[in-house]
Amino acid sequence: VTPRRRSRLGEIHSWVLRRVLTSLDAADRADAAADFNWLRAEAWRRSSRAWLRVWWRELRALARTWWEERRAARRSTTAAPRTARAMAPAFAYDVRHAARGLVRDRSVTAFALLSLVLGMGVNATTIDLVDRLLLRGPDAIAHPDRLARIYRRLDTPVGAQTSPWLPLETYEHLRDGTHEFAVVGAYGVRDTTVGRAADSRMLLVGMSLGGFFRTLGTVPEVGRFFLPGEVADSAGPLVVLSDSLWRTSFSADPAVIGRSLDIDGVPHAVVGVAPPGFTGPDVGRVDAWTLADRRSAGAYNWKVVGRLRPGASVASASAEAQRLHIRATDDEPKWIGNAFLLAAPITYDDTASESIQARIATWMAAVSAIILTVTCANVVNLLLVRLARRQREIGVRVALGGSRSRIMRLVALEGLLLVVAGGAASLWIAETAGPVLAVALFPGGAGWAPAAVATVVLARCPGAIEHLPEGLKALDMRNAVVHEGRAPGLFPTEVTAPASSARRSLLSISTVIHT
Amino acid sequence: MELMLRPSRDPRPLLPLPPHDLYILLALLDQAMHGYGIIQDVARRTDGETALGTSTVYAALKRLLAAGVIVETGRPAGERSGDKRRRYYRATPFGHTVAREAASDLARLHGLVREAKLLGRAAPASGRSRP
Repeated sequence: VTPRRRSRLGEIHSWVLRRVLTSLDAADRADAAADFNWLRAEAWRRSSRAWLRVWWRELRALARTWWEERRAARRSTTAAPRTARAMAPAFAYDVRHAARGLVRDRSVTAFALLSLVLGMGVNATTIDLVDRLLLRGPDAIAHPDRLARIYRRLDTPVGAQTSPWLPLETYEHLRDGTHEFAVVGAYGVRDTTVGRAADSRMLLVGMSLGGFFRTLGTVPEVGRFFLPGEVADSAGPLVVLSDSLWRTSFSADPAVIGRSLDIDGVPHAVVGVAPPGFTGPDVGRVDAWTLADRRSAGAYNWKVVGRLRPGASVASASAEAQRLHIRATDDEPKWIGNAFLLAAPITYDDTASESIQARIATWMAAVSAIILTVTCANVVNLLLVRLARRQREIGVRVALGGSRSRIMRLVALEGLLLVVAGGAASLWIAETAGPVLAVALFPGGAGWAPAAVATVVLARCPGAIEHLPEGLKALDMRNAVVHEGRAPGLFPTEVTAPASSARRSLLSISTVIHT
Repeated sequence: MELMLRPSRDPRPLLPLPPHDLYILLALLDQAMHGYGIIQDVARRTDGETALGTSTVYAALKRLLAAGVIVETGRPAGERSGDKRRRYYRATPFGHTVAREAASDLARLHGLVREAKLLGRAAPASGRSRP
């Protein structure tokens, strides 16, 4: 660092002092600059590191002093106590004023509100779905991330085929030989006739084996689930009702235990009611759960789920399942002899890959995030245009002594009120649309939602983005500050507003929607 | 006419003094100094651990002057080095009172810290100290 450059740095220091410490008079600043020159020169004689340390210390001190002086100035200018109680009347007035402003400008408010409700509603709905399908797992299951499902993979001439359906023997070998799983259960869901004579209807009934309910760790709402060692041969035909079937067919009678329900023409004794939302390890609806007997168990293939022991992983469970399968191949049906067994999380679909519902939900979440961004841009744009139209009003407020912070608070409160109202309405949308979307996502109903969402986004993106700079230009608050003793609204501005209020609103909305 | 004693100012509203203000006041208790001298004196007293920035010093000097804790004074006799235009400061009698009050506050606090055995003193073997 040459002496000339050092003096240039000294000038910078003096400039910073002048700009930052405005409370010091010129003599103090001159003394401080002279002292700093001495300190720098002294440090330079020692080492360049010491010189850098002096600079660092000085800049830190400058920042701290500036901050302390700013705080002290704020304290002295606001003599009134800034407590919540003291500020409440002004705040209430601002809220009322903001609400009145929004009501006065109905069309703009309605459009902004509608945008927010749609944007936030779609987001809340999809986030709920993503949470259920990807993060939380099926309802009413304890620690679903510790559950794994066993699959078989068969190499065929047309490629590898993966399926969760396993013969009873394979399930029994896994159940008896596993060390990676704490408990293993099997289940399957099929369409079954439920009820008697004219009241009979086709419902989805799950059949379970062994410690199925213990594996899931679900707590019954009423009564009990099937016990790990319980089989229909000894216990008789038993049934656990779903919460919805209990409410629709038994009027949510708490004394339902022991009553009879015909399934496939056979009377089953009700032993319990599953908690609301319980659908087993899969996401689809299940109306009742029965206990399989030995004859029917041998006639069906089963989906096998297990709860991993502490320390065990899906990969180690996979390896163990294959080991057990190879060891017991002779006892199992011939068709599964060549299969390769593997384990996968229960959020995966029947092909042991991330389910199509989860993929759609992820896709929808991304799209809905874009929608929310576009919605926010739209609303911001709309509010900016609205603010630009109010320059005259803001100018008068400034001229009458309104502080910048107070005016900004008024403007911010309007946005806040819109967001609160939009948020409340979007919660209602999410509550209503959630189940509809969930039904649409399950097999047979998927496909329309992403297309619709993408269409909306593609239609609205250009309008919002192109008009943002225009709105920002219109906001230029400097135009709203009193200039040369006159209110700024009296000067010609770049935003020319039509005479009629309704036409102005329509123009604002149309500029936001269309390019 | 009877002479009335001027009521002494209460130092309490100024307490607790910010650490930097106290350092500066301690430097100015015994002798008059200019800003650069104060920075060097504080660094010497704290073995270089506390190095004040010039903005910190002059902002604090302004505060202390306004509170009547220090006063601007002429160049001390025997002071030969440095710029003749420099301004010197020293503590007022009120500044001495403020420094004493601040010191007694710190002593009280130090006593509490000692009682809490936070300074690593070994506890007596009996587990209880004698009165």
